[in-house]
Amino acid sequence: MHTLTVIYRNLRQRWLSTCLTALSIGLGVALVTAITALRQQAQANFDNVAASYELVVGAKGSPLQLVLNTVFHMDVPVGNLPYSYYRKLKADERVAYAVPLALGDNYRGFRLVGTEPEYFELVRLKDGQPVAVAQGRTFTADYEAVIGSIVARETGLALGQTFVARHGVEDTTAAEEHEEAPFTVVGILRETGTPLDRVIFISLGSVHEIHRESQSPAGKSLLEQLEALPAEPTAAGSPPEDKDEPDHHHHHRKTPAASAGDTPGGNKPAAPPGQSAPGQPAPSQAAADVPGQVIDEVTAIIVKLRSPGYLFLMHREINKGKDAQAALPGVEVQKLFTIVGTVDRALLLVSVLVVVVAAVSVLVAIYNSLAERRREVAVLRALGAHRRTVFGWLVWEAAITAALGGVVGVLIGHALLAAAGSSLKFLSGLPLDPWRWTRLEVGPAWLTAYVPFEVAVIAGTLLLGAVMGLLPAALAYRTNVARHLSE
Amino acid sequence: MSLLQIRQLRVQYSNPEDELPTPVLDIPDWGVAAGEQVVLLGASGSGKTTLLHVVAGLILPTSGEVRLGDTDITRLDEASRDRFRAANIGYIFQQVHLLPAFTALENVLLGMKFADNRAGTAEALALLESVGLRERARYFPRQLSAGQQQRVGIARALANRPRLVLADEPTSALDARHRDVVIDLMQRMCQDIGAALIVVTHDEAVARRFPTAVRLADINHVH
Repeated sequence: MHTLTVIYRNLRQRWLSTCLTALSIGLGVALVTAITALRQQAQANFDNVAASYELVVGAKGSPLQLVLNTVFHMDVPVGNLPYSYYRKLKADERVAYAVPLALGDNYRGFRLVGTEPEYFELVRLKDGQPVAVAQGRTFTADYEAVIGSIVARETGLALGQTFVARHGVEDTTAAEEHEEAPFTVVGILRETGTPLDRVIFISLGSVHEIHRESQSPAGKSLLEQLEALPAEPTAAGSPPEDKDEPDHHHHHRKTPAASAGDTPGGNKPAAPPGQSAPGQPAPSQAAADVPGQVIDEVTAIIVKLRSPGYLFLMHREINKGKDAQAALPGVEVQKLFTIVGTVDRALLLVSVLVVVVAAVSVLVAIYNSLAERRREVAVLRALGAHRRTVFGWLVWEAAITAALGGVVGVLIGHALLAAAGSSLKFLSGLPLDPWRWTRLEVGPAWLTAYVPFEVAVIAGTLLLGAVMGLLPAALAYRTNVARHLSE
Repeated sequence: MSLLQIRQLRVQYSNPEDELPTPVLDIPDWGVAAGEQVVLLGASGSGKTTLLHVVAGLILPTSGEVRLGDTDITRLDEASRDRFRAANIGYIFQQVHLLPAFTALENVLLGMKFADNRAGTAEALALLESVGLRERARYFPRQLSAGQQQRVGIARALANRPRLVLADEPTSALDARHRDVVIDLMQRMCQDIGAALIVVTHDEAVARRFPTAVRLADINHVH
């Protein structure tokens, strides 16, 4: 009879205790697995997406916020740049392409991003392919929209259908609806597995239009009304960041003038007459003169340079200037994960403690079973079993119970990812593959190269269980055979 | 020549409270011939079980010699005694001592395992057949009656074709009818493989079924 059969029989004899013990370890392992896999896949996803963008340019402020906003379509915009800045950048001979983005509205939580149709051709994703429209076409006029694949799926919007945007980048019930400005879906993007799947693209002109139309009945733009207020807008020296302000678009923003005070032309929605860039009429004039044709500002610009050699030069040059900031998405994602890493490590530590505490329960379970098993041990000894044999069985029993927990935990951990995956994808647009192996991140290279995290964890629980089995096994080893036989 | 030969055997239990150890056994000379079947009668607490434990090598005597064939088992180290016991001695317990996690068949196979007995399932099944439980081979102990369990215990004790079978009150948990069945079975099967059998009991009814009955008090000088 094989030793494994013996161990299996003994575990089965106390199946409830075995299952509960294994489960308690499994829950700890599930946490460790889910946290590690989630962080690893999130980081890989973020790195992948960031790699599609060389340089993003936006208003002065937090570069991380700019990257999150422009590349990942998260967080609120830093501010706006004058349209002239975009034109200047586009004209720079070192620039291969510069694509503008303008933010401000949402439809059921999905952001409306104003851009040029060239976006779909120029921006190459990690797979080397352009963003590209899968169904329909790109927009050619204002109030036409191209929607991401998740948007299409979640909202049920199809080609030819219309929808009305809400103001602000976040979906809040308080936000006003642009009743009179319905958009028509003309295209649906291919599934990219990036945050673009959650975006509704519209023309830059539309962004401008919907806000011109939502002006107050007095004919003055809301901005102009805000600027007339004494307190905020003129407070020179107030910080340019206004991250907490969800209602963040140009005509409705409350602080652009303050920002403009610090960074002339930076966040300012419209340069006052005289300071405006050449060919840039003030918005009130634009609204009056050529409705829907004049775009006064953009939120961010995606830039690709003709040569990588220009990258740091350009990055420094823009950041030195007073008008804008440039951010390197790859670098910002690294920074983000340095911050996230701290939290991640804390969570991981707690989970590992859970596993260790659960492992002690293996010890307790086997120790408790020992009282009734003393006689069995004595019988085995009387049948001719060595002390060492009985000792080994108990250690193996503990190890296998724990490893069983390890296997169950790895499965539960990935099942948690699968359960959370769809909502995470919905939140970030970044896909999770819940059943993918997780890379082992600590340990020597020869190990990490061949052994995935899950296998290492199961092996770890096996070892941990064996250690926990040592004490009860030692007690069984010392069983007084004669006494327990005659009891 | 005797198969089992005990000489000058003394067993004392050291008593923490008393300065003097309590003597349990003092057997100057006793033996059992190969194939002999002996019943050893004694009241409870008279040291019958202790004697069996000493013969099985489960406890070491304070002094003296316990020879099985050419081997003085008191001179073996513990691991050697375990191995020697597995190969040469079959043990049938007072209460039913089948391992509850294992089937009848597996209990018999476990007996073989420790003696490195390579005979497999077929031989174990044959043993169960000879105790009339072939069709119950896959039953767990809790699914068997006390008498059936003790028959499995006999099969397990004989699995390695031992030279000596020790039975400690093997019928105390059984009614009269099952007692007779079990005793017949032990006697017949030991005879078949030529094993000597020592049964210890306090039950005169059991003793009457054996050709040789020895009172422990007659050979033990501790009273």
